[in-house]
Amino acid sequence: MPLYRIADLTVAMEPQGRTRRLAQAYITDAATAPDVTIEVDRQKLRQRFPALTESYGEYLQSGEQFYMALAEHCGMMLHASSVAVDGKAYLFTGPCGTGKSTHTGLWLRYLGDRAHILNDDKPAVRLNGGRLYAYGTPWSGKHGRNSNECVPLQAICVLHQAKENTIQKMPPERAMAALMEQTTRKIPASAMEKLLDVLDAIVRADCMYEMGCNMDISAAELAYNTMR
Amino acid sequence: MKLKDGFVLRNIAGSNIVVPTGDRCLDFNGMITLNDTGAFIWKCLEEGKDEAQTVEAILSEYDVDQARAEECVKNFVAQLQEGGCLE
Repeated sequence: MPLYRIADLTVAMEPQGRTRRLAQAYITDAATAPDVTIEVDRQKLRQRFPALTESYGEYLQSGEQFYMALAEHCGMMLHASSVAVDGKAYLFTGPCGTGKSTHTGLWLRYLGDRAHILNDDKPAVRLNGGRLYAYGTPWSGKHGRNSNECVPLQAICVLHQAKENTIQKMPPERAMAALMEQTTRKIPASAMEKLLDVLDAIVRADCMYEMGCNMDISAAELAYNTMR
Repeated sequence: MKLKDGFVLRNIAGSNIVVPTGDRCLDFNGMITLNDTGAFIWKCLEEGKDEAQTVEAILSEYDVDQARAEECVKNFVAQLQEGGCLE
């Protein structure tokens, strides 16, 4: 089976279609034993996602399996659009339709060449030696925007739409609830224990913000200058 | 009286939170925050203690009288029942 290196994990999988295209940049020829093996049963895909193309069903199913395994390896998927600036990662999370990608789009306009998208939909956050890192992965949403790299986590911001732009630090309890809403929860208790280690590290790092934002470029300016 | 399977209690940055895992997520959304007494009672129930044993455990851990401990456990168990955490 072909090997991929995703979020510093060696992944054995044989994707087709969309997942194969998105995972192209993650192929590795390192001869290490896989940390994760993803096998997608195409028969079951059709039963589970009758309304989706096989390619898209495979994309969802393989992502789900990867992020479940990620939790076992002290990692946490966050439903977020993430941007890397000057070697630091900023993750914007919130419910669907909040404008996460729209907001990171403003960062690209505001910061130009200094910024690029790390993962537009589901970055991985991992704890390594007491430090937090964000990773691009192939599972990167509608437009498949991602970059295969590991970037130190600078901040996570929970977005909501507002007329005026405001941003502030988020109190720990609300921060935890917001993170739990936007991560993998349907995982075994043993994996959840490890995912909660990551959550604990994030909350302790005091890097959580909440922002009311509009679609003006000044939203990116305010967010960047507050969190950088 | 028994806690349903699939919940994990953890102290995160000083707060006691309970989150559902596995299939428990399907019928339980979000998470529960407990104070220290709540977390203590939760752990007793996790260990399989019944209400009377939980009251005893509280009496040996905290400086409270029997009536207060009983009331505390009764209220907490009622809340868990209401929240759908008990079998």
